[in-house]
Amino acid sequence: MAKIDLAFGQDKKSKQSYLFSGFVLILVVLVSLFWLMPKLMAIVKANRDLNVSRKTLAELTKKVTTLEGLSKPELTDKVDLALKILPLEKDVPGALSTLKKVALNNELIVNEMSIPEVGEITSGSAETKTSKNIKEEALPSLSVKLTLIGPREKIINFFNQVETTAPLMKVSGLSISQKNEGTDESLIEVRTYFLPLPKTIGKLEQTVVPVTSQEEKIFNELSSFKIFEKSVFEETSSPSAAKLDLFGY
Amino acid sequence: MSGEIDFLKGQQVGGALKTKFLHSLKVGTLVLILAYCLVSAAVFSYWLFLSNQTNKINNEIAVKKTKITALKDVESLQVVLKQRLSSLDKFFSSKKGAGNFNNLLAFINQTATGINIKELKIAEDKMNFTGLAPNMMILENFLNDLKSNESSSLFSKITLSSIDRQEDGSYLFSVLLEIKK
Repeated sequence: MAKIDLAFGQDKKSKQSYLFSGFVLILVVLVSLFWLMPKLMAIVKANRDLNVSRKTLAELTKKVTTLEGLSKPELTDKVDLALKILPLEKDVPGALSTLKKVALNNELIVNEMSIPEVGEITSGSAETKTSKNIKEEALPSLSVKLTLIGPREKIINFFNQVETTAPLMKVSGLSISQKNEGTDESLIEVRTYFLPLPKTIGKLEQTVVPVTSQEEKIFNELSSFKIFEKSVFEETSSPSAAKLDLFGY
Repeated sequence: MSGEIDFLKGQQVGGALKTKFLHSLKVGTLVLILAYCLVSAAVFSYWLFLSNQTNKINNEIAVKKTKITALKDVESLQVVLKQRLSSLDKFFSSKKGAGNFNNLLAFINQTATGINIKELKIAEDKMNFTGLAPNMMILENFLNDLKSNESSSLFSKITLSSIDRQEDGSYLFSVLLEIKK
C-alpha cells in the first residue's frame, strides 16, 4: 500500500514539472510571436529611419552652415546686377532703348529697328521656350534687327559695346556695306537674352550649391558691363533682388 | 530470505534517472526564462534607445528646418545667383569660340589693309566678303594673309568666289569664308 502511494506522489511531481516546462515554452513562443518579433521588426525599421534622419540632419546642418555663411546684403547686390544683365523675362523696351543708346554713344544713326517675333512677354512663355532652347543655345532669347549708318570703325565699336552692355546681348548676324565714302550701312541682328526663375526652388532638403570659382570669374566679368539707367517708361515688372520671394513664387 | 530479494531495486534506479531528468528540466526551464528575460530586456532597452535617438534627431531636424525657413531670403538669392551665373558661364564659354564676331571683325580689319571693303556679311557659320583692291599686289598680300595660321584657327574653308578687273586697274573680288565652330 505504501509503495503505491510513493509512485503516485512521484508521478504528480513529474507531471507538474512537465506542465511547468510546457507552460514556459508556450509562453516563450507566444511572447516571441506577439511582442518580441514585432519589437525586433520595429527596431529594424527604427534603425533604418534613424539612419535616414541622421543623413537628413547632416544635410540640413550643412545647409544651415552654408546659408549662415552668406551675406544677405552682398547677395542682394550681386543678384541685382545679375538680374539687370540677365532679366527674368523678355525686356523689349529695355533692349531697344539700350541698343539706341549704344548707337548714339557711337554717333551712329539708327535707321530701322524691328523685332521679328516677340511672342508672349510673360515669364510663363519664357519657361516653355527655355526647355526647347536649352539644347541649342542654353539661354532663351529675343531677336532684334537694326540698321545703322555711320563710319565703319564706329559700327565695329558698336558691336564690341553691345556685347558688354546690360541686358545681355550678342550680335548673331551682320551685314556691312559701303554707302558713301567713309560711311557704311550695317544691318545687324542682335539676340538679347533672358532667363526665368528655376521651377524647383525652396525645398527644405534641397542643398544650397555654392558659387564656383569659375562662376565668380563670370560675376567679375559682369561687373564690367555698362548699365544704362532706365527711364520711367522702360521700367518692367521684373522684380528686384530685394523683392524676390521665390518661396511664395 | 526476504532481505535478500529487493523487488523495488528496478523502480529505484528508474526513479533516480527520472528525478535527475526532472531536475534538469526544471533548471533548463529556469535558465530559459532567465535568458529570455535578458534578451527581452536588451531588445526593449535598445528599442527605447532608438526611440530616444529618433526623437532627439527629429527635434534637431525641426530646429534646423526653422532656421532654414528663417534664412529663406538668403537661399532664394543664392539659388537665383547660382542659376544665372552657371547659365552665363555656359554662354560665355560658347562665345569664346572661333565664331566670335569681334574676333572675325578684328581679323578682317587687320588683314584688309589698303582694301576698300564694299560688303561684309556674317551669318551663322559663313562670312561673305566683297572688297576692292587698288592693285594686284595688295590683293595678293590680302589673299596670302588669309592663308596664315591665324586665319586657319578662325576659318575651316576659304573660297575666292570671284575676281573682276575694273577699268581703273583695281580689282573687285569676293571671298567666302566658312567659320570654324
